[in-house]
Amino acid sequence: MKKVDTVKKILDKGVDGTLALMLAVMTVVVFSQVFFRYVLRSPLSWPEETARVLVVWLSFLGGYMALREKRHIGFNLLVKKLPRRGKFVVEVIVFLLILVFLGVVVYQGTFFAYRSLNIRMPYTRISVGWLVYSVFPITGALMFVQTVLDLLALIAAFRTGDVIETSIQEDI
Amino acid sequence: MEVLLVFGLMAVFILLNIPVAFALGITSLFFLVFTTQVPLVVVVQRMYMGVDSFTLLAVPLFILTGVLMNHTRLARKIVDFSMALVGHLPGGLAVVNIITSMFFAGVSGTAMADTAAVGGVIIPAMKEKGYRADFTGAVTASSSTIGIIIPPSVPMVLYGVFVGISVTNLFIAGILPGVLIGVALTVIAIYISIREKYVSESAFSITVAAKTFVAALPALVLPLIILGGIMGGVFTPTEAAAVSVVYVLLVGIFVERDLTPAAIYRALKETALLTGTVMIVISVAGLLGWVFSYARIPQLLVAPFLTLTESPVVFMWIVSVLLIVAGTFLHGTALLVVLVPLFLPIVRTMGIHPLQFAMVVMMCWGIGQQTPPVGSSIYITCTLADIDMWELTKANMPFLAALVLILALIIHAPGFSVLWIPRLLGLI
Repeated sequence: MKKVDTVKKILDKGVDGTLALMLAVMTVVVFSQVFFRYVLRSPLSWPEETARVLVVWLSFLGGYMALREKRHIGFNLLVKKLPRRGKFVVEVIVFLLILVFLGVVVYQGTFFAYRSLNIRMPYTRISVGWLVYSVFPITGALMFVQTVLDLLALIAAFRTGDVIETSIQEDI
Repeated sequence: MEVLLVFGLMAVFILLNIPVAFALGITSLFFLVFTTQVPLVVVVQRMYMGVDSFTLLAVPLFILTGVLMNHTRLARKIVDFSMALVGHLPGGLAVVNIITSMFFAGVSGTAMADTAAVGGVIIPAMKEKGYRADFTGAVTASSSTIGIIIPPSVPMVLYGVFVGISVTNLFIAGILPGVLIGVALTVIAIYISIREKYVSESAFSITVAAKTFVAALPALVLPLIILGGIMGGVFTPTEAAAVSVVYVLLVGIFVERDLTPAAIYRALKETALLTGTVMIVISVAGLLGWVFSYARIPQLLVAPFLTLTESPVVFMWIVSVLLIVAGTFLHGTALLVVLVPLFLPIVRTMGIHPLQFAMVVMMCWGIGQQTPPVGSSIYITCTLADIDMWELTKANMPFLAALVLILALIIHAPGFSVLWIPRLLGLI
């Protein structure tokens, strides 16, 4: 388990860095659109396309980050009131349902991306399959792994008698 | 039947504390698998379409503007300037709290950023001056509503993209209701302060006002750039968001000199997280919306609603009550994607102006944020003011009444409260 933790930590640092970079690039891209239109008087066509790809990635990779930090929007007041065993059972069901959904996202996402490998974006010539739709298998798999780890941690906590945390910590 | 299935599942999943995005996704998945033959690739297809929008880029960028501002001294300087302007009024600091929220609302896109930035500075100051903690918290929580009504506003961007109306028009329609909220809250705060004999700050001084104005100028210019740019048609809301990020970065690095690379990196990470929590709901809502229209759920609800009432005014009040009650438990983003689509066909049938209905939803969103048991403004404020959320709510009642009054104005007098400025500018 310790090895998994180390790998995960490195991976998460990478994810955080990637997200920060995407946001920075996004700002520059949209800003340059304004700059080219008004200051240089020659509007560009690629910024909008690039920015849209970035916003999709930011949404799902950010979604993974939120899952990791247990910061997703939700309602935990009812489950918080349950006795320990009830909380455990509910949380296990919750994680299994999430895993089913993420399984579908990864499987269908792979299929979706694979079908579009040869389709290219009109201006940037980016491969839609490789760089855009691949967001589903990649971030879906990240969220899947995170949920499996959370489930294992939950079972371990239940066995050792630790506090059972709900999968949503706090409303944002 | 399908309506019951979809809403029953959704309610159960949300009560089980499945994050809203996943609860909506799992509901849609169940619906697809058990009642249709539709290939499941539609799941990812629709999730992709849900966030594939250039306008939605304004969400991370406006969040980033607010978060970056919080890492600079600009918030503090806005507080100082409003102190010089309105501190001499009875209950000076309470009024400063509201006015600062209005300034901040014109810069950042979320009520959260407003609450955190303004509250963090002013709550300790108010408590130090002998203001009661519950009153302090109530002023902070209620004035944070202004953040989502005065442009720029992330909830408005989400609404515009999700419902398919112009974000620019939404922004401009929000100006007057936002100012009215500020005025109403100020009047109540002054009245309570006189009754409770809260002290005012030092007398008005033109030199102090001028000095703090100059210090706050870099921050004060930003709402003008954003609003002026959007109103003048110079840039789209998304572009305005990128310009304001660059502006805050430049001011923070070169003028204030307190934006270090480490602070910027922290701000970027925080923004990514906040963006993820909201956008993943919007993405899955693309799938849920598809399920809704496949099962013709919104259309099915038109007839029962129309037998209930044919009056647009009564309809909007019913919607408001539903949204406010649901909003006490659910985050505004969840309200938007689950409940609003149900009402839209009726809005169209009744001929209600889309901007008016949008403002009704925004007001309910704002009220829901500060009503327990669940609400983002109330959580942050209770932590900052160190009080119980029910105590805060009791003190917040007069302010909530004022917000309901503005809601009534939007419902009964849209020509003045919502549509006047957009019409003046020739936008509608």
